[in-house]
Amino acid sequence: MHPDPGSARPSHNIAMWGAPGSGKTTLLASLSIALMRRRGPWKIIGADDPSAEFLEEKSLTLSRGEFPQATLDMESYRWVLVGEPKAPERRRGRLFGGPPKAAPAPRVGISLLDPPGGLYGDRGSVSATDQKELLDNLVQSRGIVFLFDPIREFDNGDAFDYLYRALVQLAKQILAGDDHGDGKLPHSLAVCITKFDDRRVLQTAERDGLLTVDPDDPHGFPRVEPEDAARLFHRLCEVSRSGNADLVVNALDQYFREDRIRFFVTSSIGFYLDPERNVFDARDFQNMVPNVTGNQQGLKAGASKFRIRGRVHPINVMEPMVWLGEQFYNSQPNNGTI
Amino acid sequence: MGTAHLTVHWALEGKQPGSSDEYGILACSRGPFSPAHFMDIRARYSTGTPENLPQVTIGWVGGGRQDRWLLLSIRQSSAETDGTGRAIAETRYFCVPYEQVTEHHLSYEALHAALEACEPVRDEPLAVSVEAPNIEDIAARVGLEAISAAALLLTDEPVCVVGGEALPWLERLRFLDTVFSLLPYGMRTRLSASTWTSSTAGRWWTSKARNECRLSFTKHAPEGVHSVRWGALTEVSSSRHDAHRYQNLLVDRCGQPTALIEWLAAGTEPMSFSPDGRARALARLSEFTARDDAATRAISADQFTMERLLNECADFLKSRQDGKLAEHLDRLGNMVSRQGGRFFTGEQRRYQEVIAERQLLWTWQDVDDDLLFQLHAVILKVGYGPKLSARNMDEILDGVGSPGRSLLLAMLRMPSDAVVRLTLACRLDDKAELRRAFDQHSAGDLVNVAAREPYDGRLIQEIVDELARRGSAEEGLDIAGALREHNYLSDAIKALHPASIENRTRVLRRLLVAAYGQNLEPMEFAEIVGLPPGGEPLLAAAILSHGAGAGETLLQTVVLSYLGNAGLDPTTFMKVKSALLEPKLGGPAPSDDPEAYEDGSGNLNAPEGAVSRILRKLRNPMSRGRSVRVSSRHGHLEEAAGLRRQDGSGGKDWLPYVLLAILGVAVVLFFVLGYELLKSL
Repeated sequence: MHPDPGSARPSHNIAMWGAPGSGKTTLLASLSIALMRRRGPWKIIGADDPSAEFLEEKSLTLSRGEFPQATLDMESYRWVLVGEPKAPERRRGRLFGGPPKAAPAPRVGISLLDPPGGLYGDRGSVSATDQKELLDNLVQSRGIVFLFDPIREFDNGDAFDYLYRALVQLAKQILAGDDHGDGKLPHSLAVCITKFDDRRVLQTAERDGLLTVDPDDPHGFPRVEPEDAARLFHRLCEVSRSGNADLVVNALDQYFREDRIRFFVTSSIGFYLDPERNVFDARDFQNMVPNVTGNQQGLKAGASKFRIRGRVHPINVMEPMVWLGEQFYNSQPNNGTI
Repeated sequence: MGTAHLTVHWALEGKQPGSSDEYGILACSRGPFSPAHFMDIRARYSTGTPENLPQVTIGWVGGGRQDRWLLLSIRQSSAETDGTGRAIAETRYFCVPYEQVTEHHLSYEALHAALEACEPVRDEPLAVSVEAPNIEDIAARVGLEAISAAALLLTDEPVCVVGGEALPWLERLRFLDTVFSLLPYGMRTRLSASTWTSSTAGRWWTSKARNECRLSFTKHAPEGVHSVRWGALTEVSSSRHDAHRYQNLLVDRCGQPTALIEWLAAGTEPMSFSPDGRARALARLSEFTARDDAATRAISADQFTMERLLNECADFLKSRQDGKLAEHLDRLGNMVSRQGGRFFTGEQRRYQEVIAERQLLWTWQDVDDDLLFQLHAVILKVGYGPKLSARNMDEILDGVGSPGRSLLLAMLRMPSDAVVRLTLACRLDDKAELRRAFDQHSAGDLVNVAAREPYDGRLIQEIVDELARRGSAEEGLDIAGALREHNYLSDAIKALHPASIENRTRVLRRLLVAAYGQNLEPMEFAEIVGLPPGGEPLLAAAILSHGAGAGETLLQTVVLSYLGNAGLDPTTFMKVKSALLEPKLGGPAPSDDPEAYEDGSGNLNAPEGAVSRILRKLRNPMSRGRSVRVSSRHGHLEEAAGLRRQDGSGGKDWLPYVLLAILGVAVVLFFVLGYELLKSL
């Protein structure tokens, strides 16, 4: 049984946006684990049984060392972000202030769409039905989690292709009217630079002096401070295979308000930790390793080529969701359940 | 049993190993379906990311008369991985011409078995032979879940089966076959199903495809989706009218599942899940019973449609969707008109049940008057048309408790007979409507209506008033004849004034005045009082034995004694006595109640007597039939009338008749009292 979401019905759409294999589903799969490992005011719960079960089952999948299957068709989830109740306030105008007033926990309902990444790509290879549904959903969304896969960009250099086609369609739908005077889309955009656990990404950050360590972190994981995330993003764009990644940066600037974009350096599985030492080891941190299960003939049908080596320590997985939730929450005139 | 030879078009979906591309169509046969077509098919039947493979999905493609295809897709794991190391799933799509599967009623299991083994050669369509299924195998699997699922599909909304996760995929496919076998085969042109669908695959569960329905196993029932729990009968809500009816019919008929499935499989004419399609499915199912039981009549699709429309009218009433209600009423009205207002025996009984159950003839608050009238008028036509019978009227009025004006008016506007029209006009409490109703009927009709049991006191009073008015308008003979047939409405008037003999006397007096005028002629008196046949000799003997003065004795001892025991108040009794004993002076009978003479017949100089009125009527050929008919039952009146015709004088030879009448009464009383006396001894 999942917690009763109460009256907080999903009311804010968030769309996952990214190229195939950029890690959209894996990021969602690690949400539950991230929640358990993270100390923060927000938590995420399913608003219905299937959505709650997704959180539970996918975290088990990761815990077993398996990656989730590639998304074949669009999936949608309904979750509720629940914050910490505000500190009780004394009532004014009453003798001795009266009893403290109960402060309800802030709740943000979100409906999240997880499409196959290919839908954002070439229209010729995607059905019109799929593209229309995706676009309709983006139009209704007020939050986008855009996954930038630096490894794919290094290998294929097609991040711009998977951003621009859908972005132009979205702008045409939304900005054609006069409702948005600043000519910018109304969405809040969480740009997630994925696969921070990959050696190449980590080394790029290290070379640019963007890595820090939180002194309170018992594991000593390296991290990139939020204010440096954009710099890493720009830096990774420079090593794009196609050299078109700068167009991604320009497109984001052109279509989204600056104060509604935030960059996150993320890893859904995190770094490997030796179970005995339990501390980050810069010489042995790769958590994704080839899946060799003793079958000399190759992988059995349905098995992934890679597996997760150790425990999962998601990095900046909850944060994009929480940031979007806070954006929604703060944009409401009467904060409470929205 | 037999073998079907199919030409199948196919496509293969997947990824190139090591590719970082998205899934796409890797190959397909040449023919009517291009890779783009197959991409659209893929999008339409997207069942989400599968948890376990293989997975079989069923659907349909096309829709034109020459362009109907059944779709079967098989998704399986492969040992290949994509550029990010993720396993690639392969999906094969097969499109089979619908016409080629209908002859042998192929099952999806049979199709799957044949197609799974096929290896496409380049871009050639496949030539496949498929064995017809063994219907008994399918029939043996008919269970509660299958019945529930089949019925729920008639809601035209997605249905999921939960609790079946542990079943092997082939068992799930067989279940889908079993469910589909409980629907007419033609519905497969609009059915889609899958052995597994992700609970979060939004498009599958919220498909807006017109008149198609979807069924799948899943883990959790998505919101707004009907669910069937594996191993249990899921009751279909009665508010889902077609589905509810279908489930009831299935439960009734699944005692012979093999024969039932064969019968439904023979219904290969394409059928959708539109309201019309559902009505046809219901009709098809009901016809199965009709084959076995000649006494049970099959129900036509129109009847199911009519029943559904009735139910939906009730739904719209409750939800206050006036526009939709009006549209439905128009449709119902048109359907009734189209069939010329004719109904099969028993057909309306079912409608009447729905009408009563859904309170369609009640007075719904806040509904616009015109719409309410339209509702009642149309519903009455459907349930009780074309002519409203008295029995149906009673049933309706009893059913609704206190009928509103709209209902009464709507009933009044239906073709009906005098009883219905007058009863309703009276209930309406509308002088104009009542007058209109009275004007349509003869005095005889009015008396007949007043005499109808159960007695309607208010209607009797209105009829008495009307008869009193008509009496003065010279319809007396008709009134007299009708009154005689119903014993002067004595019983009805007793029901009107059960506790007051005075009031009954007054009302009867008004009726007599209406029928005969102020003064009764002797023969009229005899007509009213009457004598039973058979006692004449005894009466004559008694009179002779008494000798002179026998008349007065009879009056004193028998008639006055009889009336004295009736409970008349002293004043009335004295008037009666006076009228009996005092010699006639030539004036009219005294009027003790001015109200009883609304027509002004209290006038001492009434212009025309009863006898002259009778004679006039007899001379009038238009009224002869009635006069003769009445007279034939009362030979003495005919005789009296004949006498008048012969002498034409209207003289004073009536006295013997009066005496005879009095004697008659006396004899009757004599016998009655004698019998009682003997019994007491």
